[in-house]
Amino acid sequence: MSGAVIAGIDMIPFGRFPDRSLEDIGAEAALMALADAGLTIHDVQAFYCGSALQATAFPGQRILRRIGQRMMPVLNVVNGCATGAAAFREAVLAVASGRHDVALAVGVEKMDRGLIVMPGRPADFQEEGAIGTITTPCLFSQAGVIHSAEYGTTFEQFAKVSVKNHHHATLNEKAFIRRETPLEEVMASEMIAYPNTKLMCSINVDGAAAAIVTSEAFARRHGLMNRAVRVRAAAMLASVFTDMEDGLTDFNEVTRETAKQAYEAAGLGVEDIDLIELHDCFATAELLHYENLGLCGKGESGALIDSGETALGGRLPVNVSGGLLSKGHPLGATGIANLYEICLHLRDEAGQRQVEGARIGLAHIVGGMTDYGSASAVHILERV
Amino acid sequence: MSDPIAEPIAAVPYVIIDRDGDHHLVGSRCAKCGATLLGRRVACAACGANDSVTQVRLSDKGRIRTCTVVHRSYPGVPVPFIAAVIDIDGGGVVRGTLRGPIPSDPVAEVGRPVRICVEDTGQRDALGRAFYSQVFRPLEAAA
Repeated sequence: MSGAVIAGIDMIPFGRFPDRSLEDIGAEAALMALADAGLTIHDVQAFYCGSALQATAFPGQRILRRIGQRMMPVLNVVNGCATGAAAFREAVLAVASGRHDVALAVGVEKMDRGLIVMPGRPADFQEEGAIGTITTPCLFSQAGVIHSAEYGTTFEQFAKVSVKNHHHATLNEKAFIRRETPLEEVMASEMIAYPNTKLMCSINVDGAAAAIVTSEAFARRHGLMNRAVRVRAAAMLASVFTDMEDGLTDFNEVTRETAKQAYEAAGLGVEDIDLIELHDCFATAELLHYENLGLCGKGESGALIDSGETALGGRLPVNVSGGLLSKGHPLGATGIANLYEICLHLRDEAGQRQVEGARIGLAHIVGGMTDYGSASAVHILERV
Repeated sequence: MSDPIAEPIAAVPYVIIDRDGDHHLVGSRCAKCGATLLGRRVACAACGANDSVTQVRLSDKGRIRTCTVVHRSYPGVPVPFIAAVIDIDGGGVVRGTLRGPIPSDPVAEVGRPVRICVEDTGQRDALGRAFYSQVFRPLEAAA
């Protein structure tokens, strides 16, 4: 990904903001990212706005009215849980292609509480319960059960993901949940669908995050390189075929293939990565993605969480932000929020949770909908 | 269920309603790569061939690939229920609800044989027709 850098990036603390509109929080994040870069809306040449739930209602245009309608194309992006990462990747491609010097990517979402209602389902037939399930915690529970049946991964091992990520979040003032959750509490929490309990599910919150992507040449000309983060890979794939997806959307193969493309594009391997933010929408997902991203071999993720190596201070810390399990998961904002966390560490600005000496970080996202398919993105970032 | 003479209609596109009551699931098989896909397809999702796919009747037997016990669902949906994914004998995969006792350990259910039945869901459309879909019933391992 020659020549694209993140010149500025930020997120608002995620939470519930009933009195604030989508454009209010999106505009706030955009202005924070511009300020972080030391740029203004006058410098922006293209704007990619991700919102999984409101992409058909011109979210980018609404934000532009808040921050300055300065002659630029807006593309509103939707791609399930990969929405924010997809908007960011478009900004990277716009700059890497030479078309633009400065692109703005915003991810923004206003969420209802409770289980996410899937779009495009039959209106007159209630499929949930009648033909299994389409809710997201259940999909990841079913994926976890496959892993347990094949490798003996235990309920306790899955639950340890929540213990770790909630612990990390106590060091992150922008996370929604900021308290320790001991293993017994996680396991005794309300069972949603075995093996995911309530404390093993990410939370629907409102949120916004934004990034300013510029060419390296622009960043050098404008003296922005001292805080810039280089984009080494921006890989994205959808719905890689598996023999299971007619019954259960697969999040594994698409992640494996996306990661493979990202590692190849960057010329790096997992041994070069210093920290990872991965898509822990549910606790079961994190263990599956240890294997999908190459942190360990197939079937070894249970042992890896037991070892403590993916906790802050361990060999390869995962989700030191607290992850989606703690920050909350405003669908469209999550992808850019993950990149924000990586950037903090690569700039030595992560405070108490700083991964010492972090030079290269990986951000992963994967989303999917039953019967429809999946979308995955892997970005690899490097300290300049 | 209260209306036994309601005309059956398919709740999902891969359920075939048969005039003589021989309801079943339909799939597509690719002669090039051998993949079996759920429902009628114009091309093969696995290999991309668009001249090799033929319609096939899927078996009414299979094995549990995975399942979970759903304790929290959308408002109004009765819980708990078992949400299962079935590897169909001879090819194909389908999701649905597994009837029978709620297992204490869903992991132990993986691999168990089931019968795939196409039945009245109890739901009616605006014209009073009965939505039929697949449900799974445990089979004895010896069967």
